[in-house]
Amino acid sequence: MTDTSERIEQFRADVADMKLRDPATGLDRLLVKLGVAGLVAGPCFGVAAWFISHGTRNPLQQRDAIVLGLLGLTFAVVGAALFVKGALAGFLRFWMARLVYEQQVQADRLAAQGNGGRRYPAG
Amino acid sequence: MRPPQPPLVELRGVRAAYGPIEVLHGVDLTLGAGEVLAVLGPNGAGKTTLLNVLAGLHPLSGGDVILAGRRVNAASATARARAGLCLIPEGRGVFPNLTVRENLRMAAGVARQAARSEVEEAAYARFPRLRDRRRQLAGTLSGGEQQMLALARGLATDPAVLVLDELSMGLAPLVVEELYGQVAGMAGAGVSVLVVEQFARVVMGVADRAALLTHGRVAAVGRPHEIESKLSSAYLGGVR
Repeated sequence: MTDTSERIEQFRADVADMKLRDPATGLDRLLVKLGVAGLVAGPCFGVAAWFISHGTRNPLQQRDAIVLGLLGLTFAVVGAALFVKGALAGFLRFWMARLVYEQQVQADRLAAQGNGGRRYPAG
Repeated sequence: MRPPQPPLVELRGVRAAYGPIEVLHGVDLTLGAGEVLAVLGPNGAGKTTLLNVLAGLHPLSGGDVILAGRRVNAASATARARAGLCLIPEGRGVFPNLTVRENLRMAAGVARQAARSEVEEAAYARFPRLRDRRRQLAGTLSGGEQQMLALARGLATDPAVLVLDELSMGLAPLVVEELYGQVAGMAGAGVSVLVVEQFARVVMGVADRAALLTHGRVAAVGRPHEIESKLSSAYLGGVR
């Protein structure tokens, strides 16, 4: 163990260096919302591009439609990635908490069986 | 002359809620360097919630958590733990499906400047019983041994602030005495300790100050003997 005063100074330094996220920004939730928006906007861009390209014989406008379609595809892919990241992080946190809890219950049950039905022997 | 250092931990007007139900209604507490503060109170007073708020495990609905003079409301539990705030939760804060040794190795992963073997040896020196049980699954240990393991794992991280929740819960008096002996040793070495206990007597001998929490408010703060006289009327319903 480190010297106490040194440890306290280290604690003060670590707290001072701590990177704090402003909770008001709600970055995680914002990213998930952006992901959903991308997922919705992507196909809309694609459909719009299809109508534009089929509504004209002008090759310049058709190329614009291709660019629009590719933009839509990009939005959809990036949006899906953001959404999956946000949703998966939340799900995995919940899953891990549940797993630890279930394992604890299971271990308690085994300990109680091995102990003639008594739970949590003290000492 | 050096300017006076701020307390290591300061809770200022802390409010916390579960959904629409507020359980902490503006709690003010401080913990100095090397001090032991006991937070006492009956079931449902908000003690565990207070610790969870301090550790960053429960969101604040008002007020501030200040560590070493810095407002850290937005800091994650991980960041607070990395800085040296160690919470040993109520019950058995161990991984039940890992062996004693593996549990200690988990702590070695976050310990400062300590090798796995050092962490293990330090734990076994504190609690020799754990050495005999090192290959046993933590979930199959007795309640006291699990609590020893939780404490050993917490201490292995070389905490600056140790936060203990109901260390004595469900344990035999001799085990409680042994555990609080270790806590007193840590406090003697200068680690700040904030300990929550429902059973006041066991912690009074170790604490420098005590705070009485009732219905989510601090009813009294003072020296343990000053608080002791208020305990029975405040929450023990006549039990002394």
